[in-house]
Amino acid sequence: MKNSQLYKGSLTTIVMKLLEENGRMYGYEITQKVKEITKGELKITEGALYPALHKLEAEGVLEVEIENVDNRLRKYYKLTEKGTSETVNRLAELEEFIKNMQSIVNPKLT
Amino acid sequence: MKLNKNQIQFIDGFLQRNDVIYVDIRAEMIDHIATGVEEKMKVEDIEFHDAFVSYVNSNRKEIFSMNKKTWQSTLSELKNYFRFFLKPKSLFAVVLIIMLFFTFRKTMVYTFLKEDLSFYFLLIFLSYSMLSMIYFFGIKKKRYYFIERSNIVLSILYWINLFLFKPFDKQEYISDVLTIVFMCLFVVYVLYAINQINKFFNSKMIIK
Repeated sequence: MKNSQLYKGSLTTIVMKLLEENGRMYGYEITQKVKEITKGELKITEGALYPALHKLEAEGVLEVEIENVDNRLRKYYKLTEKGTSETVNRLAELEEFIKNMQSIVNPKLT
Repeated sequence: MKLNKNQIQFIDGFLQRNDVIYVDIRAEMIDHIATGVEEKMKVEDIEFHDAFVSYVNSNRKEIFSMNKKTWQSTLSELKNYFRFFLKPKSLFAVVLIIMLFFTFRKTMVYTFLKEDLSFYFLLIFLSYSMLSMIYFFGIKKKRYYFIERSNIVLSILYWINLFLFKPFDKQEYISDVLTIVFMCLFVVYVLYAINQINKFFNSKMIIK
């Protein structure tokens, strides 16, 4: 992550957005997807991702499905009903934040 | 190329030797490392051992940060427990306890209960810990973070209860309020623990 502090507050929203688009995903898949979308600009570390996933799971935003895949257990995360509506709110908040930042950083574009 | 059982066991052994003691945490780490190693083997066209060493060397810090337990995980467990109060069965239990208090407060039953409340906390704490130890240590020979962390909530409640009751022992009104509050905390904890254990056994996290 180039400047991790800038992305820190948006990590859970990023994860929820990805799960909204992809249905269910496992930890490694999420890190790779973010890397792929941002062309390597944003790298989510394991130390940040897993605590965030566990926190969202405890809050009832995510639910877990465990499957035996290729000789090991794989934990898939997906949005709950509450998580789906929460994603809409968080994305709206993030968009608003981006808009505000845009008007501060580059007022000509707004 | 997919890893075989022996290679997965090799990763498991490596994590165990590096103090990743909880099976549920280890399972997620194994899958993460195994997927990374498989990708490395495919992209760089190398053997398992070389891919594993290279993957671990370049990601060691991040891998083991998955096993780090901070005060935040305790806080998150406590939040989870207090959120459980909003469930209909918890609300029902709270209403029932308050009704029972007003029905029995002038009787001996209530006096005994009030005097021995700390003992009931201790009893359930010890029983829960002992049963967990016998089942997971003795029979399964595995430790699960999901199970052990819910013990933290009970021990915190137990110590707060001990700390608060003594100073207000002689003040009837305050000790009555404390008795109701702690009875609610105690009964809802039992419901919470049952819910957590159920959730655990319904997931496929138990490894035979």
